[in-house]
Amino acid sequence: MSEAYKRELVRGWCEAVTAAVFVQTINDADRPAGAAPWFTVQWEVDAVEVIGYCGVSQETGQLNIIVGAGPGGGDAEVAAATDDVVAELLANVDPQGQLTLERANGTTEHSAGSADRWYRLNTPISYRYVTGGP
Amino acid sequence: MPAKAYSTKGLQIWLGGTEAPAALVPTAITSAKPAVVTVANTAVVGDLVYVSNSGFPELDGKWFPVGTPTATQFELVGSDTTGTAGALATAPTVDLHAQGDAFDLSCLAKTITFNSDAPAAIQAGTYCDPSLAITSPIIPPTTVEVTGNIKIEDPAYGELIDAEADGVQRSLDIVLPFGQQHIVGPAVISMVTWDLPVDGVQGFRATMTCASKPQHRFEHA
Repeated sequence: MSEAYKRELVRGWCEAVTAAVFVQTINDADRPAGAAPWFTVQWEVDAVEVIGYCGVSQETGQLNIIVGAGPGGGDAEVAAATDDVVAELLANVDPQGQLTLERANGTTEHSAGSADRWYRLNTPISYRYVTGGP
Repeated sequence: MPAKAYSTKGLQIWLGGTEAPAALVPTAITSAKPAVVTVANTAVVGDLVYVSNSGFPELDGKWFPVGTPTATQFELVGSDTTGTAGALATAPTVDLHAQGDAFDLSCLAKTITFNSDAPAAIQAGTYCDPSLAITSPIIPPTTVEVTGNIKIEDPAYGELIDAEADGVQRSLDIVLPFGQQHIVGPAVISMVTWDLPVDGVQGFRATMTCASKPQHRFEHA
């Protein structure tokens, strides 16, 4: 189960997204200037199961797509960016056939009220990651 | 002895090819556990043999893994002829099924299930005994169902599809990891179907029909 392969692959897909700016490290002091939508991703593993006698295993879970924008802009811009970012990411195909972004699930609010100024939406994308074997 | 349960990780599933087995002619078979076959030997570890007309009822019509091969002999793993009433026949035959001609399904497969049904009950009711039923003399064949993941890049998947098409009986050798030896027998790939869930991986389901029940061959403690 190569964590690095999975993350590097998706990092490349995210950097190619045009609908919003990809922010890799959300705890940096500075985010992209202005109120333009930005996004980041978080991995959330649900289960890992063995699906072959020679060491093939399958990890399933959610790739959380978190899209944010500056305060005071309402949700329209972030929602539109969410639709576009998710669509762009779902269009990617792993040439190795190991990682599949299966489908987008329901979008939820991901803001912390007045505790921070970024308005955010989270859309989990179900993924399936198959590794192992010769 | 401490309780143990062995993982199936590393299990191998060898299904023979369509090549005709090599015919070995034994010059001697010992009354021993395991029986040792003396022959101009080409068998290696991993090969299977099918013994017929050997003169030993403990061996005839049965499949054995090859053990401890040398240039002149090999053992029949899991055999026992110590108390035999048999003697070497005048024209004994041992068919050698080389593992080199077989293909390994283990990287495709994710489950193996053996199914053996009891003989069916035949209704034979009479006026005197309307509920009379007799047991059919026909024993349903053992079937082995293998499910797995479609992967056309794996040559074994193509071999599996071809095996269904040709219907040829092949050797089946399931090598259990952690030294738990072999489950062996004959098998015909009788059907391959596919499982295509809307949310999941592309899968296949292969059904093997066995002319005789596969046997677990190992040296008994």
